[in-house]
Amino acid sequence: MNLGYLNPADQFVLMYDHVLKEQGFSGNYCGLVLGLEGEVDVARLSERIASFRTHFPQCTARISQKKRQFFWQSGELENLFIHKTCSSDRPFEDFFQQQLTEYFNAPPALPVQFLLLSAEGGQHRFALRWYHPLTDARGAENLLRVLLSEMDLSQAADQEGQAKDAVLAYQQSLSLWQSLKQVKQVFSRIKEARTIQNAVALQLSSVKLCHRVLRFQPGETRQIQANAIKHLGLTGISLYFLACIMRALAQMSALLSYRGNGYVIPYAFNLRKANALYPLFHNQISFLFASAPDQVVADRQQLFAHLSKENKQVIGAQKDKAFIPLMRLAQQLPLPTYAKKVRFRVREEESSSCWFSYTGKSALADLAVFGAKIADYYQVSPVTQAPGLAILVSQWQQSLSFSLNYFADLENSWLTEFCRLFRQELLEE
Amino acid sequence: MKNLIKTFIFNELIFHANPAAFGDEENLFEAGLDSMGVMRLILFIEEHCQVVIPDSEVTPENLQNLNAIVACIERQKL
Repeated sequence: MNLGYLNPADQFVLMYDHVLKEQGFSGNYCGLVLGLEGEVDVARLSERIASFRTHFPQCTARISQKKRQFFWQSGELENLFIHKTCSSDRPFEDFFQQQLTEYFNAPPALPVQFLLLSAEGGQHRFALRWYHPLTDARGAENLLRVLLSEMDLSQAADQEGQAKDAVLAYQQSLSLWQSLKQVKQVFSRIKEARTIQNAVALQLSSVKLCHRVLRFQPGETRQIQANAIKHLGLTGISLYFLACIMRALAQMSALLSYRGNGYVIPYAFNLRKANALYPLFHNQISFLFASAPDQVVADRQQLFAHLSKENKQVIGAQKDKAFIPLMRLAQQLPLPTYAKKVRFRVREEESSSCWFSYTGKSALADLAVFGAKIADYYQVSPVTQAPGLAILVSQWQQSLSFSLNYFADLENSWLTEFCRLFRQELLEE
Repeated sequence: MKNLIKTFIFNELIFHANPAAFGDEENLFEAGLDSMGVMRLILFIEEHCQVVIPDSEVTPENLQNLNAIVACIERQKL
């Protein structure tokens, strides 16, 4: 049974799934990880997940293709819940890291899976792994909002059925000429960004993904937010993070085989309204780039002014949503051609210095995982060679977390030094 | 003008179960307005209210609720 066609943004991330699989990774699987305090009622959690699966058949669906159109084909009612327990002779943190790494590097299975890792004495962590073509990070968080609440799942499924797809709605609002004009605009933006030769290319041999989380206390978080507003205003929180990433990467360039002239960081932004629970499924995203040449990155104030001006020009000219008609057009291409056209530069090199995402304050703060309080929250993402690094920012209650996703053979000392410099940039130490 | 801005906010930026019941003094940041939303709101105001909002006026105080936004726009018109 056809459960729905992939929208242009779904197919864009499916193209990345193709690229990742070609490089030997399991695919475009992302995750949300919750640190828990207290005992989880495992039986009730398992029951709720089983019921969730029944009401949302997308969770066990498979992607099929008919000519050039991809769609979700219903699958078997498989179990979405994995529960593993740490043996008493092993430190829980080791067990957790090893299991999570295995889970995100495991061969592809279902589009949605839930993992509960437990140890004696009430230690638990809960993770959602999702296949990116199914939904985006905000959609995944909304899946957890529905799962962990007491809402009626048949009502939730009805509401999902009535929800408006923002990507399709935007595309449908454009005439053919408006679409073509926007595609032209986005090509000029991509061309502009490509004048910057990417300065970072972590060419590594491993295909094992790892992550490290850089956390900030509430006082530090307030300081970072105040710095962002001081330099870039109320609209520039993401830009402040991007500027600090660029500056930290620039200071790391001595440790890399540096051969570029600047930095380009693409990032998705969500088209969902703030607080909207539906739609749960389909990627509701478009893309932006932040780019700056070396001489601008070298001067902190100049970099802030440059990114702010660039951002205002892009959003003012509505080039942000212009990626949607481009993705719609690219749906006509076979995935390998799509990847080649969009992802690579002329000389077949990656344009991005790293990947970035900022999802804001988590909406899970008032929820619990069947008896256990949520005490920590961060995201996990795949990454390709290159850029070899993805930085995902989220806020749990009053604390910011930066999840750094990288290859296993990226030197620990590189990452430690990068974190130190990045922290210094954020806090203006 | 207030209604135009309110309609834009609840059609495009923030989900609210009953926008009509959302008060003019209610805090928009607590309702979910984020930095990307602020950027879009400013561009909308500049396009539809024929004013330019200087960066120095883009402050939490000036955007915290509908009355504060309208007062900020009126000041730019003076």
